[in-house]
Amino acid sequence: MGVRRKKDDVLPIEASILQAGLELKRRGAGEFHGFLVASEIKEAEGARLLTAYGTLYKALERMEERGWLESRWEDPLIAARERRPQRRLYEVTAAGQAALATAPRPARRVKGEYKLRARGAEV
Amino acid sequence: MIEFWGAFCAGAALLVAAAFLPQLMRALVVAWAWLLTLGLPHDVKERKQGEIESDLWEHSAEARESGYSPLQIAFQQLLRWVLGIPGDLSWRARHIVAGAMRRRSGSPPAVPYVGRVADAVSMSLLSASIGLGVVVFFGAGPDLLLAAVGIGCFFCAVSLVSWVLYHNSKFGRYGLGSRGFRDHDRPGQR
Repeated sequence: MGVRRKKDDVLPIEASILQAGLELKRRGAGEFHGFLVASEIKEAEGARLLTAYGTLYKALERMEERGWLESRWEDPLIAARERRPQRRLYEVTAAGQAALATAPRPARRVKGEYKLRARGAEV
Repeated sequence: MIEFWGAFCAGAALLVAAAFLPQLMRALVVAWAWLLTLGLPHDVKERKQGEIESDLWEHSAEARESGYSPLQIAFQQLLRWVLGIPGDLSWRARHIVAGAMRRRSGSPPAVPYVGRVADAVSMSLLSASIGLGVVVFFGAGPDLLLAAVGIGCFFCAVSLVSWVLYHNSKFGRYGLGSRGFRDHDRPGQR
C-alpha cells in the first residue's frame, strides 16, 4: 500500500509547474498555456521529453481546483488573428506561491536554473 | 500466393501510414481526447479537447521552427500521448467518481444514460483493439508475416477511425496554417 497523499502536499510535477509559471511571470509573461509551461519545465530540468499530455493537463486541472492556479480561455480574436487554436491561459495565484514555498524542491533530474536554486537552498 | 498478397497489403498499409504519420498522429491524439471525454459534461469536454488541440498545434509549430522533421514531431507527440495514458485514465476515473457522487447526492446526472453506455463501449473497444494489436505483435512468434499483416490491419483501422474523427474535430479545421482558422467557438467566448 502506498502512502496516502495529504491535502496540501505538492507533487513534483506540481512544484515544477508552479516554479516554471513563476519563472515565466518573472520574465514578463503573466499568463502561460500548457505547451509553454511544458517547454519551460523541459528546458529548466534538462529533460529529453516534454511532459506527457495526460500528466500535464491532469495536474493543471487539479492545481486549479486547489486554488493554486487560475485559468481562462484566451480572447478568440487573438487566436483567429494568429490562425491557431485558442489557448487556455493559466496564472499562478498567491495560494500557489505559498504552496510552492512550503514544498520540497523537485527531486527529479534537476539541471540548469532549478539546479542552481536547489544548490542555493542547500548552502 | 495468400502470403504474398498479405505481405503486399501490410506493406502498402504501412507505407500509407508512414506517409501520413504526422497528420495521423495528431488525429490519433485528438481522437483519444474525444474518446476520453465521451459522455462528460460539455464544459469539461470542451476544455480537455481544446487544450490538447492547442498543445498539438503549438508543439508542431515550435518543432517545425526548430528544424525538426515531420516524422520526429510525430514521434515526440506519440511519446507524449503514450506516456500520458495512465494520467488520462486516472483523470477519467476521477470524473466518473465525481459523477457518481453527484448522482448519489441527489443532483441530476451530469452524464446522460446513452453517453455512459457509449462511454463504456468505446473504452472497451479501444482497450480491446490495443490489446489485439499487442497480442498479434508479440504472440506471432517467428511468423513475422502474420505480425506484419496484423499490425497493418490494426493501424489501418486506427487511421480510418482517427481520420474521420480528426476531420470532425475543431483541430481538423485549422490545418496548421494551410487552410486557416475558420471558427473560434468556445464556451463563454461567443
